[in-house]
Amino acid sequence: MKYILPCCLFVLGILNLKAQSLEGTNGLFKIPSAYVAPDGNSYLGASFYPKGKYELYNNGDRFTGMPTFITLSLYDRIEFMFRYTHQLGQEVNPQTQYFPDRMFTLRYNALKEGRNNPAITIGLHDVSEALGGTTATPWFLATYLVASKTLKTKTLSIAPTVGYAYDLIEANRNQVFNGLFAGVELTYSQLPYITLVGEYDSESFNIALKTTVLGHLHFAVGLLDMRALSGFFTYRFNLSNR
Amino acid sequence: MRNLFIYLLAGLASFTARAQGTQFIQSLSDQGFENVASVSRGKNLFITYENNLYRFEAKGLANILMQLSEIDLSGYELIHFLLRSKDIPMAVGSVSVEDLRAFNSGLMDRYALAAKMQFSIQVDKIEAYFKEAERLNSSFYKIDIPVGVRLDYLLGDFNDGLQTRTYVNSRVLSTFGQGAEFEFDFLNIVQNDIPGRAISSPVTMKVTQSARFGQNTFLSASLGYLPQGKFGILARFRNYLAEERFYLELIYGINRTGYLDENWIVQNNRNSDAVYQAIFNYRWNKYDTDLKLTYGTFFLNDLGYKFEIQRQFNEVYFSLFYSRTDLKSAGSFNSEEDALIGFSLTVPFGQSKFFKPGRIRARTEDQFYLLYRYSGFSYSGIDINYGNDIFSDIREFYPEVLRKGLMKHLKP
Repeated sequence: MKYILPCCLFVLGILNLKAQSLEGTNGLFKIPSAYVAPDGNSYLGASFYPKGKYELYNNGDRFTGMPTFITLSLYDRIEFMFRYTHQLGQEVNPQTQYFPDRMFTLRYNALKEGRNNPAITIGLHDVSEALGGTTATPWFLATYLVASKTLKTKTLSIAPTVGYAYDLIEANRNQVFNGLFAGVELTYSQLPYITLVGEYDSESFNIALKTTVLGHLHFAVGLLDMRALSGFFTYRFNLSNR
Repeated sequence: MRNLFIYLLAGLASFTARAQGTQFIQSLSDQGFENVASVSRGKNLFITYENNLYRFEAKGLANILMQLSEIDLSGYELIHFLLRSKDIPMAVGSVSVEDLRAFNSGLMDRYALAAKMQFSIQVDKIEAYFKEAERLNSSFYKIDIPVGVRLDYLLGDFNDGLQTRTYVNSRVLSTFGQGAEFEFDFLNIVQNDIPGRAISSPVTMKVTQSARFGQNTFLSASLGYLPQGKFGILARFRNYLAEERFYLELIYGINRTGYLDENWIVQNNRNSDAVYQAIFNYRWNKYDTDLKLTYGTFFLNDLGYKFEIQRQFNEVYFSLFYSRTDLKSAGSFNSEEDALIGFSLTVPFGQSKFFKPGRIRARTEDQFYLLYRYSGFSYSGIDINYGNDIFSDIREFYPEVLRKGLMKHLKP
């Protein structure tokens, strides 16, 4: 009996490491957090947006979206993400003039979290055109500042996040993080591998449940706008010796 | 009388240790390390070798250190290694016998041992010790046949969203003198849905002479059918400052554009061009990162610049780049300046330890390379492919890369 709990903790992942979000960057459920993983941490993942929650090329809300992404943390400060997103069911041909979206995101953690201060990160979401991509399609362009702080009691870990997205670069259409966004992650110390998320993504309220398995696999399932089922999974691996 | 006995015992122990050192060199040669030699100077043992046995240089050194920690080295205080590539001395490393003993007995872990070792790319002094030394297992006139996979792909075509072409490539590499090498590369198409000309054919057939001069200066010159459909000559000169922290590289080549068809006949032989580039590189050792600025002509002779930041994680390389070149300067295009961003990923491929080098050896390629250019339809700022030369794996010999590699590969 005394081995059951340690074994369960091992299988489920003792450390509930900070995980990615629907968007592919480190975050809560949809909104980004200010945390950046340690140098060399990489994430391969995919997420699912239900109809009406992912729009590309003015295709309306007829298609679901499936972003697939690879994210890499560098120098304990920088997060780089490349994302390739399909609209499921939409055909690639000359008639539809549809092609899956590609985008880069760069985030810089300007201030590390301290005992009395939050982590602060600057995010440049889908910034390809601004950086010189000639056929870029910045449909999800957003620039934002975000702050996160983890507060711990004996029984609970509370990690609030608050951010503001603004039009530093003009976007084709703002679909993510337009204005104030905020959220909180709650983790009960007896169940460290499960995190409850509540957030406001600047348009709607979302809730989600996140879990980590074997320290490398992260899963999340939640409701966007409190009604549309969504989720993601990521696989984490570390390229550095540390 | 008692003192004489002690001196005799000490002398015998020293003789035994030196005999062990000689046996060890023979053992390295038998295992497949090449150009192996050793020299003693007082209480210093100098060992030189070339590793064509392990894919990663640090793994080869880790293997040697682990073997060395198990033999009696009581006559020595310091062991020095001189690592070679194509028989050219590349880097030196030093370890104390006391630290090796502590590592072997478990009193020191791999991180502490690697941290205490001294590394440098300044090899001139130690190389001089090996002038008269007898070499075991020469690396010359052996043939290596690395086989690997390459992938071309095209995104963004409305008729077919993802088009790919997969090649199995077979190279023939042979070193026939210090720094002198022959390279032949044949690309065999095994899958293709990208429209346009594509044939299985030779893509490289060249000889390269690389050399190292004093003050950490390297030079390589290649002649023949160069990669990317160029016939001609290409020379690279590189000088390192402050160990591997800075380097300046100058590249110059004269070539004609063309290719060998499936019957090995030269086709499309046109345009004699001069290629030139100047590269300034800063190495941030804490994070094994290269910050590289290139100015000059690129693949299509488009003049411009490229800034690249490349992070190395042992054998994995991740690179982000931004380039801006003037395609019109190449003379064949109407477009003006073109800028683009992209990234590349290089990951280790296949065997981490190869078969013992022999007259002919088949092995897997070292790496798989994936490039993503945000605007794949633009030909702006495409890197020049130099083929195999002394610079191909020079970063594996950087002191901090060796140190971090040992931290990963040393096993108690």
